[in-house]
Amino acid sequence: MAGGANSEPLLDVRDLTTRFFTEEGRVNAVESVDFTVHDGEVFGVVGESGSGKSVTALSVMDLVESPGEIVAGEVWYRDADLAGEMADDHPKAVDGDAVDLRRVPSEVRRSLRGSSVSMIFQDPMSSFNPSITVGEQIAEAVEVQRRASANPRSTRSRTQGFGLGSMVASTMESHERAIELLDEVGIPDPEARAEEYPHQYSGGMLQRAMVAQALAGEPDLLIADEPTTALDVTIEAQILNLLADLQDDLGMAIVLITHDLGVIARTCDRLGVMYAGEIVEHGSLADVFDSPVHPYTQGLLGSIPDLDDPAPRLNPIEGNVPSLLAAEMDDRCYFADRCPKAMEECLDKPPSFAVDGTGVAGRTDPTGTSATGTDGRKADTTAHTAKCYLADHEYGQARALPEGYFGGSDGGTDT
Amino acid sequence: MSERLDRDERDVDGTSTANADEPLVTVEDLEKHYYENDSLLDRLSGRDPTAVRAVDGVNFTVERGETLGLVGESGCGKSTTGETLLGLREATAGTVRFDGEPVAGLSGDDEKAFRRRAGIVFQDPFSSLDPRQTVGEIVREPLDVHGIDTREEREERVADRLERVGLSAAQRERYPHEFSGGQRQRVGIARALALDPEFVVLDEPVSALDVSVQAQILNLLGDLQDEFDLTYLFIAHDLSVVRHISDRVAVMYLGEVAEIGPVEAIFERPGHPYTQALLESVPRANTAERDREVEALAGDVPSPRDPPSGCRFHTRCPHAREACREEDPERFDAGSGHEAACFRAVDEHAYWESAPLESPEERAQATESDLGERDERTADEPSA
Ligand code: SF4
Ligand code: SF4
Repeated sequence: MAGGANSEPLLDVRDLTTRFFTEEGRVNAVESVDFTVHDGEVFGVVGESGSGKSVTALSVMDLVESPGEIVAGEVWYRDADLAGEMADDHPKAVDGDAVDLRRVPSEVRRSLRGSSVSMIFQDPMSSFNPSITVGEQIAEAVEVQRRASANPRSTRSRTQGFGLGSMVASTMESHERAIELLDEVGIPDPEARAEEYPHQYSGGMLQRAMVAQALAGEPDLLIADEPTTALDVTIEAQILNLLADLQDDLGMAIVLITHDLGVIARTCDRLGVMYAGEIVEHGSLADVFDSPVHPYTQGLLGSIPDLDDPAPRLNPIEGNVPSLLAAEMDDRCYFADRCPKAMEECLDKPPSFAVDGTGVAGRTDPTGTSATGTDGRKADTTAHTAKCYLADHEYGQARALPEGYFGGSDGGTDT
Repeated sequence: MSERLDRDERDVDGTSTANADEPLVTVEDLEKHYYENDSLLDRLSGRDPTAVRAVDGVNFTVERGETLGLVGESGCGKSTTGETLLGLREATAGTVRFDGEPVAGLSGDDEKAFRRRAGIVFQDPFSSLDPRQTVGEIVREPLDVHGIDTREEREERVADRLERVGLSAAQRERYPHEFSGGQRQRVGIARALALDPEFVVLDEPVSALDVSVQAQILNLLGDLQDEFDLTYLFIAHDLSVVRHISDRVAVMYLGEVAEIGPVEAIFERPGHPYTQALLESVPRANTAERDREVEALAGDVPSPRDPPSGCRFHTRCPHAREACREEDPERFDAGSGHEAACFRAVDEHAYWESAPLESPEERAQATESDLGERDERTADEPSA
């Protein structure tokens, strides 16, 4: 754990773009995504299915599988030791204490998984081998971390942190640590439970065990992809409380990916709302929930029935999530065909605007190679921004696109 | 409109016997148990079959024109209740009466008449629609089976239903895979409405859908209820959705109804500690949520293979006392039409004198919990 808060982000993702090359054509799953995560912060990524939120997580972790490919972008991760190690062989990948993980060899990226950055998933069975006891698998993860930290200068000695088939034998010591970890995540009678196999655990318990496994490497950053989606609501509450407690105790940063705005509101400091592969609105929890600017964000918030104050009728977004096939995506605001406020200018792709009215949101690339800022100022990557012209200027009825402009829809249909 | 004729006919041929003040559906002591380890091999090896008490003595009514929400977590038996009350599964015990007539043992024309009056919409619009049929055929099939009207009139009705659910009649030649999840659910609804039913069981109809599409379908279901005069049994795990759509709500836990009452009462003045815990647990989508201290319920849901003695909730209940371990609470009156199966609803109960159990955290047993609705299904023959 990098002690103390650092004003530089722990993770700084820029222009991340991932495509899938399928038989039907190119799918633009993640399109030029930018976000930062600071020490001890919870950053949420919310979106509906097909929005690209999970592929974003996998792209950060370099876990995208064929036919998917990360085609562009930088993933700056702050780790002074690693920056020192990489400085000689890969000078372009280093900027101060930060390392661009996209520009270092893949075995270095792999070596960080489980030790510096861990991931948990919706389905805990995916991170456990069904034929090895839970205790043994967590002990292995502990052992991997032990060896890595015993030999910090050589990233090559670190083996893959988690996942199946790691060939590391656990020691007595790491086994004891595994039991401690099971205890920390609230598994009753951890000594006995350590001897059990994954299928002997309930869904909620296995989710806890997966968190224990992810914590074995004492990561600075945890990426949690729909960690409570498969769980019943009373168990979800337990797991969300657990994550909050662990985050307080360990001070790690979390990227939380979910479709559930309630889970976001419960856990996140800042968030990005994804639609059709892009982060269309970004800001603090209060920015996005209390003053949403993008009509998609407004539509999402209007679609959820309120538990405490039900409205007689919901305000859904018309239509359906668009196809992400490159061939079918026009170079316009991807939401325009569903947007009640679509205007002529929306046929040109909107840049990311600062909601405070200061124009196009910019940022300065510290390496100076790909400055995208408009005025060279060091932009605040935590500001409220939206990829929508309404963040820049008011809606103009005169410029509204005529009804049925996008070929109309025969009642809640997509194409 | 012409669809109304069916209903009039029904009255004419006298199948409708009950008076309009009676509930449309009455469920009494309904039980559905499954048996596991019940294969030939198991019997050969002398293994005793294990009973899974998926639905274990459920009572409620559904009034004409209302929406009764049936809510609970996975494995509570809510979906099995819905399927059993429609006679899609054979009840182990208990009775279901529809419009005054027992549903069990219906056959021939009586069964056909019942099927016309009571329909179902399933959660997964993809697996519940035949991929080789066009959407038009899917919606027309119940009309064909029941031999309704002429071919032409059937086609007309198909077109009407597709349009009423927000699709276009021109889409009838398309196949389910050409539609999005929300549209497929519209097809499932159109099919359920083909026979102009009075009662529809909606089994998690929006839980597979994205929230923006879910809202469209919820609005649609509300509109159709008015247009077609429908009575709904709405089964769901999502409490916000249930509050939104229901007039009354029944909360299920481990095969039993823990609490039932008007939607306002259940959500504003929940009487059962389980209902209270459910409501406490739901993450709210607003900025105050970040600072809300959530008292999470300890432990897992126990297995319906071996439900706890006494009150089924006593292993997790923060208010459990000795009495709860010994006696199974009946449903006590908690005010106008509101009932809770908890001793705390009764002022003078021996519960108040008995000793509190140690806290649920200490009692929490990591028990086998995740007997999902899926498990219940696989334990029995598939219903389709
Ligand atoms: S850019 Fe235009 S079409 Fe897109 S969300 Fe904003 S107003 Fe709507
Ligand atoms: S009867 Fe006892 S255990 Fe059951 S809900 Fe009431 S207080 Fe809790």
